[in-house]
Amino acid sequence: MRKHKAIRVVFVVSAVLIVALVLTLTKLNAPPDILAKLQFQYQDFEIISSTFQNYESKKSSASILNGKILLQVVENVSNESTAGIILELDSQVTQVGEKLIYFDPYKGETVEYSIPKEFEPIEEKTSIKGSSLKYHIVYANEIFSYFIFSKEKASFKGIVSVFSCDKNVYKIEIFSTINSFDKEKSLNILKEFYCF
Amino acid sequence: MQRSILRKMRYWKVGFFVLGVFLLFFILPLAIQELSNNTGQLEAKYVQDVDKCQVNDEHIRFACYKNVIKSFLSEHPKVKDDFYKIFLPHIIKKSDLESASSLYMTPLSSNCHIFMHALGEIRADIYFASNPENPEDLLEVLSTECRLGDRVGAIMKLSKLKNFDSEYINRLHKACLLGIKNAGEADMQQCAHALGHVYFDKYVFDTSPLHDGDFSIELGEIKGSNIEKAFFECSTLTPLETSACYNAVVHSLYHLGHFFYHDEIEIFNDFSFLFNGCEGTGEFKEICYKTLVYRIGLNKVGSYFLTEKYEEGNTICKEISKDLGEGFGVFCYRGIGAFLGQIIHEYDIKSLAAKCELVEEEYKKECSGSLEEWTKYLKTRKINKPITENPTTIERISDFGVLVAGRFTKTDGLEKPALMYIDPVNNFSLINISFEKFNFDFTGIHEARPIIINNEYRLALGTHYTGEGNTSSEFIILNSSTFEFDNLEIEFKEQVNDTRIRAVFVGDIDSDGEDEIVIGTRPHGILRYYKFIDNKWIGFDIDFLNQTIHDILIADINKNGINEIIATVSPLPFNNDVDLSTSDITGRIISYEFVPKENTWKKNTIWEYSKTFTSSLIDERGHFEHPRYLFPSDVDGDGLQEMVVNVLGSQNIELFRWNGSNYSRQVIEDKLDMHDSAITVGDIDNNGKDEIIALTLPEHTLIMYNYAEGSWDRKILTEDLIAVEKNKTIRYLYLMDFPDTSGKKILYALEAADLIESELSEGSLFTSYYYLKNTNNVWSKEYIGSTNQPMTSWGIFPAVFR
Repeated sequence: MRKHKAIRVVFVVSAVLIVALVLTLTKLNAPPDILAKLQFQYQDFEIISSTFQNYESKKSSASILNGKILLQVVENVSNESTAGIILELDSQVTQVGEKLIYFDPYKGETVEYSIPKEFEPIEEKTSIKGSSLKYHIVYANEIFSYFIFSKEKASFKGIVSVFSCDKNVYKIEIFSTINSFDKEKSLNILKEFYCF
Repeated sequence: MQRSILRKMRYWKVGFFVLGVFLLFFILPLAIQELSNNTGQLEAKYVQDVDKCQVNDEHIRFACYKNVIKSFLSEHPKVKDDFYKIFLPHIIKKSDLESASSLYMTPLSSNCHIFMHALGEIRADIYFASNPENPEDLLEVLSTECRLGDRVGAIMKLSKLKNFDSEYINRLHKACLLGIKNAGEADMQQCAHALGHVYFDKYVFDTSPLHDGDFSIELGEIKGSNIEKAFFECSTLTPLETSACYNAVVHSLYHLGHFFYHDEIEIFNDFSFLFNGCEGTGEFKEICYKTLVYRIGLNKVGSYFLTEKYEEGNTICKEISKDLGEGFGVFCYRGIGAFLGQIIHEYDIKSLAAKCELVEEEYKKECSGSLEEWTKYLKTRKINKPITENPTTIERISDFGVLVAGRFTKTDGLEKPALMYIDPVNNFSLINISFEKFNFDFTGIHEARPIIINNEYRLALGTHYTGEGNTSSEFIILNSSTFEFDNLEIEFKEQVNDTRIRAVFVGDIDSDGEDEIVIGTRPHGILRYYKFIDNKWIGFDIDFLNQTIHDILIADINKNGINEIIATVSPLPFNNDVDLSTSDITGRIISYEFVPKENTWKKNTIWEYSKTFTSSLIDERGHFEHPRYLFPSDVDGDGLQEMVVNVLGSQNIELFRWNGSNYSRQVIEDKLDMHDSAITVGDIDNNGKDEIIALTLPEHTLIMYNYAEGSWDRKILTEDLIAVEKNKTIRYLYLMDFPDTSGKKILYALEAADLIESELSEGSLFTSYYYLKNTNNVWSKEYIGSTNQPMTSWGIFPAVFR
């Protein structure tokens, strides 16, 4: 009888330990802060690590209803580099509306082109936590490239914003399919993630 | 029924039952799958086959790659999607630049691209047979390596298998992009490039038989009007994509010419076949010619500028300008710049930029401008870098590989640890194993020994610091679960309280079937071993000798079935605190044998050298008589091991043999002045008996000692080994196994005798590696490569413990 009781105790203790271990491991594997928020609030979370101008950079994505959130976090950026990183990330959007002079390696020469006016990014501002935040309304194709040359290729519409909080720089893109794009809803998501 | 069974069972039985079900249905299938996927031991043959493919020109190489991959996949049908990674290090190697049969194939992106392309075709073939309607699923799992090579190959093959159905091709195009995580504009262009190849195959000429090495098909007439159709399809893409697509159409045309006329250089050189293809392409005629000329510059003429034949390259571009006009000719020179730009970026040889100076005066700017643009462009792309002099390597460790441990001395006087890797199977490639990510602060590696435990590769490093006042060193164990040097991680690190970990050896010292690592230090003689217990390394002391341990050997020399740790020790040199007038300066060979029952070590002195200080015992290089390097050896072919030792002071070579109750000593050489450390032992003539190979001084004559009928036969292998480089020295010899029947090679490092600070900037202080090979009993020297900074070698070791 005592032996059975001991076995039961061992079982209970083992179960508690296993649960604790699983919880600990889950916590350890969870990305910190804003990425954790993205992971736990939305579906199909994916993340890849790389570098951006010699800083650690994490590119993540998650699905929302009829769309996708793309979030890039450039980590531990020094004060001197912050402006440059923001400018570089922002220019990925702003250059789309400019005449692009581009070396085409398949052609062996520099080429110029620009996208139709209707697909150029539109700059707007919104107020978040008492400060003004710039964002762009953009169109994107199936791989979320902003270079749209025809209506047929425009699969998504969304907002893009680049900002810094603490020592990190963030680029967030909130896309919806063309017909389901709702600016206010997208801005609400942006506000959720701004300096979270 | 179930409930009654469970009621009868006690809690613990239920637990075991659940555990059993879990193991049976979850763990066991996973384990079986993992085993079937484990290609670790099987792929060596295929890697060698891939190496062999690379001696061929492109048209043969492609089909060759396909055959190797096909054969590999038939043997490993359930292999993981990223299995190709075991091959890539062999595709991406620096030696291509020196030895490639076709220099135009030297851009790694080209060689790697065609390998991945071949892989994509094979995978498409296999996939299509069972699932022709869902190509998206295959493209989802393909890679982005080497300009989407496998995607391009798969798209071409799938299109062909579906009879170039337009709707299907559109689906493939879309899937090409959607399968890529974080795809960008460059990927868009490369997917469009794949389409261009498909359109060529669809409208102009089905090139797929050529991919399988079938050159017997009729080429027939290439109609410009058909090429126009392919161009037209390309023109419907976005402006970002069109030129990539056009480029592929022309690339296919170029390939066709190359594949058919590869043996007839003259025909291929006049390019009439290619240019005829552009005739009749209507509104696309100009883009056809320009892209074609650019392709000729890139794929053909550029490589001439890596050789002395650059004038021939200039002539080709000049002829094209003459035939088509200057507006087209400039693309030839831009192609040269593009080729050089790729080589410079991939191989990091900036000096090649000067090759544009060899271009015709008025077109130098076309070359250099294109080179510059390409360099900028490639910086934005993920490029597989080759193995270079200063690489982050991506090399799978070869069974025949060799490690050279030592210390780099930079021109600013800074010292850092050096570990070079030589792979004889991979064209004797020479690689500097980078430790940059570890930020090691020790300054040199004295010994590096591999050890494999639980199927994972580990490297044990005995290290040292330089300079007065350093009293400790670090023992490091690095781990690479993938058998690649770029994946090394620190698994264990321990500070050892002596200036230098002088000796490291691996072997089973406690007869438990697992290998341990034994280290010995100088000058204080800490003898310690490390054992992997419960997934961690634990160190144990064996002895503290308070004198230098020079070398360690683990072998069963006394033939009792238990390995001994054998060490050569002496109080001098390396210890300034020894009082010569009072100290015992005996050099000794000692052994330790583990006694399991008592958990102790039985210590035995195998041999003691002269006990007192005698001036005559100091040779001209200032040594007291003491033993140094130990080699296990079967010199008489009886299948049992003896031990060869070189002795400093007397400069002898000696043999120790167990006679059943004690060790006997035999002096093999006491007439010649032997080198301190350039000695090695092994069966170099394949007669079943080991020979001793040693270097004599001062002539640097390499001598082989062969044991026959109770006596030693001395034979000169080669004289004056370092010939014209008299300021150099050879520190070590190593007998290198080789996978074919050409026999063992003698590897050696030639380096500066003294690294004098004022001369450190001179390239002559770099270490060069050579090997000696035997052809019809004549030993000749072959150059392997050099370090790119002054290096002092401390030893040569096998890269994989066998």
